[in-house]
Amino acid sequence: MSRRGIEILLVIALAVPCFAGDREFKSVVSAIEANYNTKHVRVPLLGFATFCLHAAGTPGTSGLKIAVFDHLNDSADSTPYDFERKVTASLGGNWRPVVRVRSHGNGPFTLIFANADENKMKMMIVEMQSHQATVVQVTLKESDIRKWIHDPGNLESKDKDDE
Amino acid sequence: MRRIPILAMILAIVPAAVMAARTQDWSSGLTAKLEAKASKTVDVSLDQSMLKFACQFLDPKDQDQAKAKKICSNMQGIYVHSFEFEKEGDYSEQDLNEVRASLKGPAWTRIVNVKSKKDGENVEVYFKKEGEKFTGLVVIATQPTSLTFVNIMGPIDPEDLAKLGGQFGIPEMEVTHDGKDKDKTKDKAKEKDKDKTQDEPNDDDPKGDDL
Repeated sequence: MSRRGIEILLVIALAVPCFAGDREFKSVVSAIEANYNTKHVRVPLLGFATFCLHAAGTPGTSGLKIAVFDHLNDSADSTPYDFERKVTASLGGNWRPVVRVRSHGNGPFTLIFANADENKMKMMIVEMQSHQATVVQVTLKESDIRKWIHDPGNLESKDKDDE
Repeated sequence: MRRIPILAMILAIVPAAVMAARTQDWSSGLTAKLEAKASKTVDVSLDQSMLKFACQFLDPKDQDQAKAKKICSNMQGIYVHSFEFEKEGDYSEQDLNEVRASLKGPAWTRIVNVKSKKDGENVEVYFKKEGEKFTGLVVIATQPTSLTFVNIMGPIDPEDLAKLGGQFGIPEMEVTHDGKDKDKTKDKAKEKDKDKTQDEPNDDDPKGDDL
């Protein structure tokens, strides 16, 4: 195999986890869009804001993704249970429902899913409230969370020491 | 020859399915009726993989955290279901009895039953015993307008329960160890509130007649 071919394979291999993370987030967004026959709102400068958060080095988090929905259709043809099942199915087996807060009838509800491996945990938060919904995905790195828990005010200096 | 991969797949899948069934939350399917009546429902589910992840944050050099780490590293799951109701009477004793009925098997023993006449708060603690070991625990805490079920799965010593008291919705407890098979669990609330009455069935009276 040529060097060029190996480089392309390497790039694809490195990109696959990124696409996987995107795919899970997009599948939840698609589930909401399909269920409520709507599209998520384009938030102005959201990309720039997430870039700034990344550049600022938010402790313990990375890969922040946000989707906002407005004016959700009341006539959606499913109960909250059905919707929850659709969201769960769209995420796949590696994601575990960790927290579920539901109010009676069509009141607000929150679903938090987690996907943990040895050194990091991805969280997917779906919140719905009176015709609005927000989906947030974030990756928590175990090493940074531990540092932050043990010494919340001194994370930055520890990072510098580590370097 | 084609059967070998299929056989290998079955051998790989069956233990996983058995493990999944064993770690199934005790209350699965029991709480749907209550949820329909509740104004607000909060479920917290920490399965083995989540607990394993959470355990990583506990510092083994810290004495208290090391104890907690030892306990939670053996656990298979912690599940909390909490229901809030708009007014008294939105859930009935019959609803509770249906939940309690699932804890009537020979493996289950009710260890603690605290009843408060003053504020209507009741706490029942059931242990699951397999052989000589406790392998699970269910706490049922009721108030006139709220219900909480806590299910801890995995090997747990009654003394460990005291260490978990005050967390995950488990009431704070004081455990005295008095001989090999005479664990007693006392709720501190009893000492504070004389209006509360407490049953402490032992192994000779595992079910208690007032369920």
